[in-house]
Amino acid sequence: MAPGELARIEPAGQVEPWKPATCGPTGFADLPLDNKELEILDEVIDGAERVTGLRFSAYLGDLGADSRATALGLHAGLGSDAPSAVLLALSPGQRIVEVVTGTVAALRITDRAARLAVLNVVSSAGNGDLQAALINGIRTLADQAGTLPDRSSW
Amino acid sequence: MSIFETVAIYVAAPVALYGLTALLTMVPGRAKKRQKYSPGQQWEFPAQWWAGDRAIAPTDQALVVAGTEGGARGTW
Repeated sequence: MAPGELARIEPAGQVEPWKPATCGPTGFADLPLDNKELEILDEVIDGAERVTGLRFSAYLGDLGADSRATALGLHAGLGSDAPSAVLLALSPGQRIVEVVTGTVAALRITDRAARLAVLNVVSSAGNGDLQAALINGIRTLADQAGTLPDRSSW
Repeated sequence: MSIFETVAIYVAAPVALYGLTALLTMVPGRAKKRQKYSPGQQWEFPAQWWAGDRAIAPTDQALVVAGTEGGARGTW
């Protein structure tokens, strides 16, 4: 067989309908945030972790009947990072925002500072802008935690 | 060249080109518009959870006391 020749010629009129891929990345077309927004969110999380040395985590989804317990469960799911982790959880369906600060992170982000972040999230989410809600919330939490002295020049 | 030909070439043709360009600019794109969230609507998207992967500052284990997580909550 000559190079470039088709190995198998489909009989005419038998076209397989396209099916979505069953493995690999499936795209973000049916998700609330598009690629550009996710990239910005990623940069914000990374920047917050770089200056504070804490683990930052964001959750967007249902929080169940006991939202605080669900948020604490998610926070515990961060494993060994959990004591130094900060979780910002948004449930747009229930209109609830939960901030959980780990035991060590809570020494740097007081509950009063967390309420400031919640205020920020509420004002953005109330306008329907969930991306801004996540980003502003994380930025506020990072600002309140402060920059580590040895990282101030990073 | 008659007056009609002159007008057609030097006036009508440029106007048509400008009009076509303006039309293409103002017609909304064919890309499917993502539905914007508005407070109070149902949320049917799957849950998503993100976390950074940067190495964090070492945790002082002496400060770790179970059950002393802080935080805040709010509604909108």
